[in-house]
Amino acid sequence: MEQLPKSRSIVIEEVEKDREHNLRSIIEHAIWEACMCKRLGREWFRIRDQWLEDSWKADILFLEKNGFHRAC
Amino acid sequence: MVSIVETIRITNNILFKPSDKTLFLEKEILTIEDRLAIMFSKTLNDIGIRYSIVAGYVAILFGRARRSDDIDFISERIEQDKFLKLCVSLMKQGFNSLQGNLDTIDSVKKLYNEYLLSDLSIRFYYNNYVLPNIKYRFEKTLLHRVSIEKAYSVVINSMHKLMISPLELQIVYKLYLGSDKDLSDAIYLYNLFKEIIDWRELEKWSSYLRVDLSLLRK
Repeated sequence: MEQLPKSRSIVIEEVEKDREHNLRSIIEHAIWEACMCKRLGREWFRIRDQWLEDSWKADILFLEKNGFHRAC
Repeated sequence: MVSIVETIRITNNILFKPSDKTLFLEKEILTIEDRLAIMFSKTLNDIGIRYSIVAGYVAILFGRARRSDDIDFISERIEQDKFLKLCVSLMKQGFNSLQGNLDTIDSVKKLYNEYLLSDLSIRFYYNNYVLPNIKYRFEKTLLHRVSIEKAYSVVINSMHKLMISPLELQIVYKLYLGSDKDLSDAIYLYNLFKEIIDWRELEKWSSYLRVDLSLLRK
């Protein structure tokens, strides 16, 4: 098998390391979210749902303003 | 009224009743995703169509802090007449389809023949709001059939009933898909429902899909 030039192998090593860090961060964040949901329960849902509704309303306003609110 | 004795408390607003695999969820605000899922589910129930909600909305329903542009429904295969009935009912409630008009019979037949029978999804939007929308398709694979046959019930605020894919299958399938978003959903669901997850089921599906469960143990 052809040996990778040193610089390329360094790039791949960096990318792999970064991927591993990213994966760790994803896992940690998902565990944190589940933990918050367990701890706060109803309150977690109230905050999250308010955010979802507000962001949806902002999306609708943006789409209407730009003429994309109706389906073709 | 749910008897506390036969339930397992997941959070102060989520209870699980193992005997009939039902999750009870209490929440103050119904989001647009919830309202669409509830309306669409009720319509399917009323017409007698078996279905299951799969993918991202399952995690969002149980509190994941993210949006989705669609809610994925898989139903059993139905005859064209039943599909016409479904479309009439959806139209009366303010739904339409992105791929055709529900108010013309030819268009509805086209949706049935060219999309559903070809195993493609139809997107239904509500009241001119194109996002989020309902992504609806017929079951095709073994996993789709299991999602419907072994679906969990979710009762929201003691009045709205939804059917969702079994949690174990959802978790393994999301690990199999493997994008950042899917991994997050899988890990979130696993950690939230750890006490009620059946490891034998997880292992069964992971061996079918050749998925490594070690991420869940981290």
